[in-house]
Amino acid sequence: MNANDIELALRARAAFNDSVECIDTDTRRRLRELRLRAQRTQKNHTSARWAWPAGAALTAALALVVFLPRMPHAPAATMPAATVVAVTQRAATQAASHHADIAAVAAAVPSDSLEAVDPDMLSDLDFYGWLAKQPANTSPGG
Amino acid sequence: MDGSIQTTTACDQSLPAFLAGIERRAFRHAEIALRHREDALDAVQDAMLKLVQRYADKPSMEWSPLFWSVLRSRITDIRRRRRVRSVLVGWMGSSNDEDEGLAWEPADPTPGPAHLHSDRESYRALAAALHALPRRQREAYQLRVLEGLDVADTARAMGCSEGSVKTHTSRAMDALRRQLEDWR
Repeated sequence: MNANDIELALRARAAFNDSVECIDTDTRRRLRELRLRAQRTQKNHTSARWAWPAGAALTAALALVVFLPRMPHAPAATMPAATVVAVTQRAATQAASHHADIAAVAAAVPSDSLEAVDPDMLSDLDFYGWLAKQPANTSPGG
Repeated sequence: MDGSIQTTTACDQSLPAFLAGIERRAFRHAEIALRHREDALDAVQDAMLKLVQRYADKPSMEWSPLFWSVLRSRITDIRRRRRVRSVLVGWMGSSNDEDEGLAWEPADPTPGPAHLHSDRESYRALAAALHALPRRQREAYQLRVLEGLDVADTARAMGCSEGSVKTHTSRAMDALRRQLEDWR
């Protein structure tokens, strides 16, 4: 670029800048309105960006609140009070019987050997409870 | 082109401030390309909306080339739509061509002191000479010289290589030097 080109460019830029400063009032007002409209769109756009994830999270939370109590493993929320009492009493009776079985097994086994009990035995407590209730002189072969 | 006519075009600023600073210049560029005030306003509006909706998260240094790229695209769309409309109107037998060929003058009704007359005449001559350029040369000259974008940002805004920017700008300067001979 030679000196003439630079001079031409400077004059062109000066003329253009002057024209920008001389834009009429109505056009300035229109441009300002367009800019403000665009800025409002930005705010709405930013809000809308979070609307879908927030809505999905809220829906999931509501679904949990509504449907979780109706799951089969939570009978207390759907049974009548009398049924709940009966179920609770039956569970307590079974637990007491289970503990009695465990006590019988413990009585049948020498105390010094309890520490050597295989942990897998604890999963068959029902069987050992039944075994402890059998008469002592009954042999497995009949 | 050397850096002797560079201007500050991008800095760390908010998007509203960026738009406020660029809207009038964008309008003038669109007006030169489209020769129609309302179409120029439409193009500027679309460019601002698209920048806000799609590129607001970009670093502020990238807004300038992105904005000019969007505006350039919108101007091209409007000109293409005009051509289609002109063809349709031609098929329908009307001779009313509302786009090209009109005796257009840059909108500047503001009355001013006598010494401003020469400035307005200078701008009219510049606008007419720019409009007469091929589209790519005009875009390169507007972005590179009038807006002071560097070669890389101009290439991004125009969607071409930096070499093409230099070629278009050089040819535009040659053409303008001939057309604006009486400026000397």
